[in-house]
Amino acid sequence: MPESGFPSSKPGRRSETLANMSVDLTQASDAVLVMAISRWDEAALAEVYHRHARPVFSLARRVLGEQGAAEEVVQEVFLRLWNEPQRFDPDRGRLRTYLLAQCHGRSVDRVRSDVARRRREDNESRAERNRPRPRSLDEEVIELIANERVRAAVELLPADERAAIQLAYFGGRSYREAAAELGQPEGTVKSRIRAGLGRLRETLAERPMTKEVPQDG
Amino acid sequence: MADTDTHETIQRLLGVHALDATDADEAAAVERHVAECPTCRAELDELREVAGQLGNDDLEPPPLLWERIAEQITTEPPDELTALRKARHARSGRTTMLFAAAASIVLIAGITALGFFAIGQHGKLDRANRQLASLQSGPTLEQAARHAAGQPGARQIALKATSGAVRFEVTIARDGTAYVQPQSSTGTLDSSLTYQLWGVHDGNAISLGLLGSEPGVARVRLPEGISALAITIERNPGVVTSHNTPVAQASI
Repeated sequence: MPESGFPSSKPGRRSETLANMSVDLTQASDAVLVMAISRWDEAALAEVYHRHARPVFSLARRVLGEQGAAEEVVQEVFLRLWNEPQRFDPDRGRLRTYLLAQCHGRSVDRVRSDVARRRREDNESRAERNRPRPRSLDEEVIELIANERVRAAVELLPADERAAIQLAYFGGRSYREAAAELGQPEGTVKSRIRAGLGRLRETLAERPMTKEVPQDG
Repeated sequence: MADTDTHETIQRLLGVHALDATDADEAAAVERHVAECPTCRAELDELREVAGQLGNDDLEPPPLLWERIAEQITTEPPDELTALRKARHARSGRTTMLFAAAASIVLIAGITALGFFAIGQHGKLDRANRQLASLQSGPTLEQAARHAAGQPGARQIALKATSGAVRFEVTIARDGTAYVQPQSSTGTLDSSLTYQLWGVHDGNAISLGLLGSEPGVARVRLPEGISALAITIERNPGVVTSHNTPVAQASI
């Protein structure tokens, strides 16, 4: 049986940080775990990793197209949570959303600096040839969206909006770069991204999600 | 660009920014505006939630990735945490603690010997504290505080503001358990803020826990060698290091 790779697969991750009384962290909300992390509770970080490392890694892997860099980004995200837990504000959203946003930001920074470096090192046309092409099948990326309602909603988006969002989110392009690649004006791409996200938001709002969903395995 | 920072301009950028597709200047402009505009902040947060739903979780991180993270958190700072783990294993009733020497105030918390229970009334942080508190049972803390005050060897310390007004009364039992009680002059804070309790040891201040925005009686086990107590006001959920002037303090 392959190793799960997660810290302590035993059920009931225990924390001994409350006056010798054992607290089952698997029952704790994400906000409580972050509070415990702010008190240097390593078991709490392990539980957060257990809950959220897969989507964080999956996103980094997809944006960066490469395992080693994705692993580094995941480390950076969780280490930052350990060192600066106060940056997560539970009033502003879920912990997973925060971790994914951190992951995405760092992944995009790497993509953009790689492209910039290659442009400096080679001439521009070679850099263009070397950069990862957008996936020719946006079907593949859509099918992988875990949230069924969002997946269905993305499929329903106008093709232009979907392409712009895909290039920006998974391709790590700025909207200006996306505009250049798509051969469209920057303002157009900007409004298509905005419109597409707005449609997706309405879809999600039809059945509002609860703010903190206890994450199973 | 003349109108880069206007509300409307930023609004048009929020969706793009939620996908990290703005350039560096625009990103900075959005973050500056969002820091001051609750409407845009709320919208950005919603859009980030949508963006977060575009991903998936089908790829498993390699098994050793957690180990690499765990190594890095346990080696920073190495000496103090190694000593803490040894002390934790030693399992005496009171745990001796070492503190990182640093120019600023450093937190070492989450220690077996420290218990922190907060009974707060409102706010997410207090609910979170109550969630932790509700996982244990015991006598109500007000009763426990009164009982402790009546025991031999108990001490009463008044934590005072610079004006001299007493903000918190602390009862310290002989075994080092302290009950921290707000006085009538202690204000309720906005729910985004919390009172935070610090103990001073050898010139360094360590966080003993959070009292919430509307504190009730709190109990904490004081580590050995605490020479003073102080309370600051911080943003939720408290801070690792504080540069704020205490709103109440006293030597022990």
